[in-house]
Amino acid sequence: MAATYKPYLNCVRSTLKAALCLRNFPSQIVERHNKPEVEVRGSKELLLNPITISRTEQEKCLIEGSVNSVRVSFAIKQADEIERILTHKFTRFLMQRSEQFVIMRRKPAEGYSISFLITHTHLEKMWKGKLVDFIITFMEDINKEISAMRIALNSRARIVAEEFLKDFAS
Amino acid sequence: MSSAAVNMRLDTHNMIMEEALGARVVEGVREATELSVGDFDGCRFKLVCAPEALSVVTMHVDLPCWRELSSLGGQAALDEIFAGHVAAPDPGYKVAVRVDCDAVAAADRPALLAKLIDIKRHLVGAPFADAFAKLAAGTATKGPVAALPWREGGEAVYVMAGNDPAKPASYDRVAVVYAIDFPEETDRAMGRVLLQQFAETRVPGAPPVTFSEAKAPPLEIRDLVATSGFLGFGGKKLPSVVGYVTLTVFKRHVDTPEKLADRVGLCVGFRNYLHYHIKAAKTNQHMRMRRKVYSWLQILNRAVPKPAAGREMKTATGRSFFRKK
Repeated sequence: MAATYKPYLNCVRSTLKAALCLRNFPSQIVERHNKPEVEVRGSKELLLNPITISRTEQEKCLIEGSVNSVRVSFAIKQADEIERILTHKFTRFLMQRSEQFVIMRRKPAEGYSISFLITHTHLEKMWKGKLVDFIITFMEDINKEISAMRIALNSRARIVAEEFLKDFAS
Repeated sequence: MSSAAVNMRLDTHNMIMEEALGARVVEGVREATELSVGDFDGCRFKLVCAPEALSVVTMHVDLPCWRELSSLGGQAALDEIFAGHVAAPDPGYKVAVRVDCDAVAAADRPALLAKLIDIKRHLVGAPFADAFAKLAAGTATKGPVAALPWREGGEAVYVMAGNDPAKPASYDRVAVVYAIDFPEETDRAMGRVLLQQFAETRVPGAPPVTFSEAKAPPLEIRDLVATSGFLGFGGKKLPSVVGYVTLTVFKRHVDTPEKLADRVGLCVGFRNYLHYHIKAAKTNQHMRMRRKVYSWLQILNRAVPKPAAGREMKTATGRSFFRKK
């Protein structure tokens, strides 16, 4: 892991810990509605200032807080066409399974690769520290996995080419 | 062929056709049938065995590029290799061969079957076989570029004799240029990685490979591409191909008839080989993603506390009890 990656993740971790301070907050406009305010954006008073933590121009994290929910969006580094496609495939694969990942959003926020939406009910059911741990591990792993997939593709391509040419040379 | 290569390389014939024809030609099954098979590269086969004449089998073949191929040696190959078997194809098919199984001597049957099921390789490979045979015989000269539309989509393959830059009079090589394209963006990107590796990998004794980007076609076909104004055929303009791959085949690669036949098979199957391995790479990625998702779900589930109620607990003295609420 690059030397600058750890501080980036640490910063995301502490910001998340601070942002995940949520309470039940039923809608004040519609009776018996209880919706994540960060998505509904019903009232300015209920929203907190969004925070962007950037490591590089492409690799950043947006944390939007509100009274009863927090939205965390990540932009994953995509250096070239292959990484872009792998990231796209991977995030799509994950978001299709978002009902298993209870906190995952089905669509990423505009300009980001993947988003999580944590509401107060999630916090009531899960340990806050471990939830944050999950998000951080996820971030670490997805970067690692995408570069590993890229390397695997390259080495596969080499073997494929070698075998074809060996047949030609024999 | 090494044992690893067996898995890597695709057969040039269609398995279903092999089975159906083999049963009739070699094993002596006499059953009426009408079997249509679509091959994955746009070819279609139809096997017909009429109830009135159970020993006569007709195989109709549809090749998407037959219009160009027939004038590039395809028709000649058909007439020569399948002499005495050529029949009139059904509407919608381009070529047909007919065999009377009873009229073939038992000893000749396996060879005939091998020839029949490999009809696609024989026909599509005709321009390659022609160029390679001239190369092997040392009679290659500067001739027109044999351009074959590879697929309906507009991909093409170009075969031409090339000369030694140092000695322009000696035509000692054959350049095979593939214009490669894939309809899907993911395939295109992965195909590009594969093709670049083809160009970078050096295997001693193998033909040198170069990869050219779409905007800069290889010199040999640049004029053709520029003057005709299209890269594909039938007036179809390709939006953009992934690139061009050039295999330069020398005499040493095709100096025996067995080698020649094998190399023609390789050239014909190149595009399928590529596609097959792109698919395999995608499968591999899917497996990795699935595994990763599973491990992430485990981490996430760790965040959910175990319910205290209904759990067996122990007192300080070691007695156990069930906590109900």
